Amino acid sequence: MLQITISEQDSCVSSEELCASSDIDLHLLYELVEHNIANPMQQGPEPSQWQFSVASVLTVKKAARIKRDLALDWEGIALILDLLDDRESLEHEVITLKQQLNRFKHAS
Amino acid sequence: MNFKDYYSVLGIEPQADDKAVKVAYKKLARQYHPDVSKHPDAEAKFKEIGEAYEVLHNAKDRAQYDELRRQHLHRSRSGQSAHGGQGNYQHSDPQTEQDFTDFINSIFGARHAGSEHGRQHRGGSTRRQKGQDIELEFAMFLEETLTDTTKPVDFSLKQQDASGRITEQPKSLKVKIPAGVANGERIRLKGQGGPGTTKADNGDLYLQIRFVPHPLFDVDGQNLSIVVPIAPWEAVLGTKLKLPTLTGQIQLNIPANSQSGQRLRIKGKGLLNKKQQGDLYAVLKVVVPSSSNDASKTLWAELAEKTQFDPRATWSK
Repeated sequence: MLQITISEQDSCVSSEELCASSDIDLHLLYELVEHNIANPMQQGPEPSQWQFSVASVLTVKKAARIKRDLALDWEGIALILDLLDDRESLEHEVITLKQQLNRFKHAS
Repeated sequence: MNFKDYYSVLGIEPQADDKAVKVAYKKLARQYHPDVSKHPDAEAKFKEIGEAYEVLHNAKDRAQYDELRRQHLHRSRSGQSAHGGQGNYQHSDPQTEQDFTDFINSIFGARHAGSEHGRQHRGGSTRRQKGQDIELEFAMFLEETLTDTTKPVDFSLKQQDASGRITEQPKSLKVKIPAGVANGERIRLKGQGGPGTTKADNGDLYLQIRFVPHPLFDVDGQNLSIVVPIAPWEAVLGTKLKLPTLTGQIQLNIPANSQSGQRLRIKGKGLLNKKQQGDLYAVLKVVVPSSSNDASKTLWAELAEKTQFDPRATWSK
């Protein structure tokens, strides 16, 4: 069975890799950065020098799917992504609080 | 292969005009988009809606489909079944993804099967295209995050055979996860996704770390908390007890006059992150015995009489 070790290099993605993974071009990536949908970890003068987190790849892929399937503008998509993030955080918080409450009610 | 009633899928009448088709599609697409919806069958429903729209929003395809539908209706009324179906208009089980592809192919060839509404491109394209990326949740026990851990990852890749059918190929890897990963963190395994077409790169595998809920500890960022039940006399007099941590038991001093809900910090016994180790918080919970015998009741009564303590003193102010 193939064994893989995660390295530091695996934690960031170049602009080129992000574009290939998301099936978008550099021009569109620039637009996504302007809309705060993608946030470079290291922002050089040229988009081709930017580095992104792995989470950014998945966010950009998600944004591209929503754009393609629902034909929304980027402002709308940025809003949706923010709200989805908020929903995920709140769901996580509810689960944690319920778990803590349960422990406090039943631990003895 | 079942007949798919695309009008039923979009919830519209067969006489619906183009605008009604588009409105119905947009409404359902928003409702079932897999990136937005919490519906358990969102992905299959979205695919179904997308394929129905692909056919019905194109006048030529729609006319061809309407003719097939008319023939199917006629056959089912006379007790026969088109395409081997049972003559009803229920669309098929949403999980039978291949069924849709077969149905679409049977009517329109491979043209629509590679439609952009699918989650992956299918059909006979020879375009140089990176392989499919795979996203998986990866469960880890809290104890496993303290050191480098090697764990197996099993998943399946969708591959197209020579006849264009999509098959699932199992794949297994062993992945060495570095110490200090966080809940929700994403890890990319470059080139471990689906194979690319025409010498293009393989897709990537993305693992999202999910901590398995622990029977004792709750996670708050890099800190942990544990509820510590103590007896009333332990709370008043103070005590020493053995406290479980992720790496074994330690001695915890409970100070005298501790309160229920009080948090005691044990430095460096939380989760590891890339830079440092978090803390463990012991949350005290004063518990009383669920039953008392006569002797203990007498002692409690004596305590109540001799102790000048009103827990609701602030109410009377």
